[in-house]
Amino acid sequence: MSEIISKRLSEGFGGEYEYDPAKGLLKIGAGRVGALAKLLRSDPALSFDYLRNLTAQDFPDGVFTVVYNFYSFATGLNLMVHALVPASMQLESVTPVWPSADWQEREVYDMFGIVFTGHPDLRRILMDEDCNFFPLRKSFKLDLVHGMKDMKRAEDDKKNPKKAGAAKESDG
Amino acid sequence: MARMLRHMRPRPKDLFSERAKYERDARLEKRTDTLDTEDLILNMGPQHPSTHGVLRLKVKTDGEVVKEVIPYLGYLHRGIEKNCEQKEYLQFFPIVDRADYLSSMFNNMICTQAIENLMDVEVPDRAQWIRVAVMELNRIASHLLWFGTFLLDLGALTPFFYALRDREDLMDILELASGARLLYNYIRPGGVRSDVNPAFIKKSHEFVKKFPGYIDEYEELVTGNAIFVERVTGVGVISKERAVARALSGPMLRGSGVNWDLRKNEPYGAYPKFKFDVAVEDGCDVMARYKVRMMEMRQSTRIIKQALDGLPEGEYTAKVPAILKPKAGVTYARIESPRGELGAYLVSDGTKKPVRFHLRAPSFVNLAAIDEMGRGHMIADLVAILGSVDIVLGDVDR
Amino acid sequence: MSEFVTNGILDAVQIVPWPFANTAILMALGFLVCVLFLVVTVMYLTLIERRLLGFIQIRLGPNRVGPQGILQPIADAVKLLLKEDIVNLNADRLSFNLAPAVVFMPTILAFVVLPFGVAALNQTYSFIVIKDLNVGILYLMAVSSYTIIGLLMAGWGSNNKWSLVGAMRSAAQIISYEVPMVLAVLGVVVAAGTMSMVGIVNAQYHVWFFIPQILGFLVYVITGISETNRSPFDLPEAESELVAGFHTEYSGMKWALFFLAEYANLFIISAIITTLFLGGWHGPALPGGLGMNLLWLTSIFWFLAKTYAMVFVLIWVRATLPRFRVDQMMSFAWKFLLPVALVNFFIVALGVAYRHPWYDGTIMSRIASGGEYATKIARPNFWDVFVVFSQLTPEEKAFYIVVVFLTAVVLAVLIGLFVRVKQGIKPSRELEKQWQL
Repeated sequence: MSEIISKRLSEGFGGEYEYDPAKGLLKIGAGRVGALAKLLRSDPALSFDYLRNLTAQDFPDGVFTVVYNFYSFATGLNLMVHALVPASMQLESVTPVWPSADWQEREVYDMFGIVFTGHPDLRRILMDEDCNFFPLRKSFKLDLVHGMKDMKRAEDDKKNPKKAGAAKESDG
Repeated sequence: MARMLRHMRPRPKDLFSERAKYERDARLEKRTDTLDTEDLILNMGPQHPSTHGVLRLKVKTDGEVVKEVIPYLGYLHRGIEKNCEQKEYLQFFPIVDRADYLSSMFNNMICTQAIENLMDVEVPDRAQWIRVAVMELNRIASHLLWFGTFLLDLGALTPFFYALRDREDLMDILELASGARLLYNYIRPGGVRSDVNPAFIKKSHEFVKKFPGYIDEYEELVTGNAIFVERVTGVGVISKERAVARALSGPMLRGSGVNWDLRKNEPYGAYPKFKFDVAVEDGCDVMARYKVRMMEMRQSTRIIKQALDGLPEGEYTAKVPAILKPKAGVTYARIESPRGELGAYLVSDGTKKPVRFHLRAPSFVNLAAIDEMGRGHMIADLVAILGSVDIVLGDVDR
Repeated sequence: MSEFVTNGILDAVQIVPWPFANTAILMALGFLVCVLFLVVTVMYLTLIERRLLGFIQIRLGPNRVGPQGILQPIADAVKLLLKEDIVNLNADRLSFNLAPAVVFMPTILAFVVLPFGVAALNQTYSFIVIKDLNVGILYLMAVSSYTIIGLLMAGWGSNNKWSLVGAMRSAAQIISYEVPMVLAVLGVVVAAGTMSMVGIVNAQYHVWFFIPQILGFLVYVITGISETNRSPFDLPEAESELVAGFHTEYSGMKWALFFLAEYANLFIISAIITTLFLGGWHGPALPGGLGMNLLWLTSIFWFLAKTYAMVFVLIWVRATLPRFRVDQMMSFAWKFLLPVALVNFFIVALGVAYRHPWYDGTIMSRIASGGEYATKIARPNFWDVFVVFSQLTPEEKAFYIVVVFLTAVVLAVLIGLFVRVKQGIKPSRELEKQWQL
């Protein structure tokens, strides 16, 4: 099964890619999402018409990847695609090809800040509209949400100044 | 008197202004493009009388007919994915339980499946069969609540209470197995948390014996009701191609004629050993999804009976370390929850905390189609369509 | 016995007004008694409905306040009286404040013509009714139309566009359902030969009108439920656009008046159905069972028993059926109920033209005046129908065949509509055999 994918990829896909048939995982570089989408959707041997899952992940070294999971009802093939997001944090949207990407890309934008060009209505979906941070990034630490940890400490200090003094020394 | 009515007398500038002349000419020619029509914007606010949860729908209507539906989500967003990144694998389970709180066994199962995909563990047969039994019991409970609330939205007050009565039985049974009524935390990597006791098996047998009779009763009262049939046929239609394009799953997809059930097409656990049919209907409307779910309840009863009759002896769990450290890797696990394809994308680097855990929520993806399904219908139909999507806000927002 | 009965009925044909009915004071007193009865009935109707709904929904209704919940309505009344009366800032005060009264008024007015029973006084029959108008049923139809004005006042005065839309929908619904209602009533009036309520009850001496006019009965019950805005026609007031319709902005006692008006309407509609179709105060133990002295008691008992049976049926319908959508409701009224009511009227008209005893309201006077009917059909029972049929002229025979055929066709259509949707539901026994469980 995976030979079909390798064959079609080597024939139809122009950019550089890395396909691991054992894991069913395809890694492509930045900026080639549109071409890959066209190939996967319209190629009769592949015809991936079911986009099951669209999410993103964030590595501690600041590299973002968008993850796609495809299935084809016609051929029964499964494929997972990792698309590297360039430093500009912009990626081509696959919503025109697979409409199910609509909300899932909005969620990725909301959580990671990756902008999908060509998306019909890219705005935040789960967080507030006027939220100014992207929660799922590794750089966003949970303790500093609205400075709550500091706020609580400041309140406790006001109540118990003596304890605060001792605590401050022991905390460091 | 004249002073009081002064504001009602037309002023010269109103009568002879350009706008007034234009409108007079238009009236004479009986033109209607000068009519100022506005779309009514109706807000089905975050709090509903029907028990879907906190979902806000902004509906643009032209009188009675819906022109656009814009859902606003996020009222129940708790940051489950971020939370799970800070926790060890076994600490996930109580949090993810609360994602789709009506089908908590499935949330457990998806985490388990994702972790077991990355671990070398042989789950014993008994554990797999117990998993299937409790998952199907939970599926019936979830579908019963859907049935009650769907009909409550349509105005029938009574089936809600009947459905809850049966659900009480199910919650008692699941409490005997796992100790909790709604949020179970029962299915663990390696097996289940504790063995089932004879009371569970006895009560489940009793339930399985009497439940098909209850479904018959519900079908007779509801499916045969002319008012109900009028309300749901031809409403909320989404064609097969659009359903696949929108990546709908579960009864939404099967109600549009696509024979796709993860228990049969991408089997997991002990499902290959069970005999059951997949309910598929061609209607593409709310009635078809209703029929699919009613048939699914019957099939679940069938599976439970087979599971209870053939429960193998053995261990209820394999030996797994207390702190789970799956191998480094990437996996996308998926199971068939009552709402559709519940998926977990897990990236692990061999340590005790995950790098990335994403829950692919079926209700989230299914809800995206509500704009398409709702256009051209009336507001009362929108309530029926929303009921047929069977969303749980915990799943949509996570 | 039958002699006495025939004589009694002959006297009853001349409707004897209640003694001293011309005295305004006693009339007012009677009216007051009736209003008190109405208020108490309505309060306890709320309790009955809640407990009945509970039983149908396999739960108990309110049963804590007092034994079996008897004091629940009083608790509710006290609570509602003590609630704050909120009026919107920009509400049209006159409309807003008057609307509940305008909605409640027709219900009380409708009470005037309801015949509760009959009493035997001084060798004549007196009817227990406040004032038996010659145009009783016309008066009822006219008075019940006031409710619409009240609803529109409520919707407009709330200064809330959803209340207005709900009120307009409700007005459209009530007006559309009045047409089949009046046609069904017309059938009864033509069969009885009189518009007075007492006359209609008298005309049902031989057979209650729901048997010969089954279609009219069904149409009237359905339109009656719709007139009171009850489920399954409660779109204007239940969560239509997830707002409570025309009574959204009301609180406290004003809301209580709307609520009470709905239950009072329930009682009135059931009472009218009983009077028009179910034989009013006729019953198996009348007359004679407990003696003529207690005729008033047995007749009131039968009237109330039938009314409450009808109330039970309406509550049962509410618990069972889902709600209509607004356009389906309208098309049901105009495209289905109206033709059925017309068919019913056609049958009645034929019956009256051929002087069939079931459809002949003037039978009373003809029995009184003697003649062939007095001997032939003094008191027909069920089997007389066949005897009479064999003695008819060919035209009359043809009429019966047409009538039976039409009724059968309509009933077959009704049953067929309900049966067709049952296809595709397989009961569990068959499925289990299939799966070899």
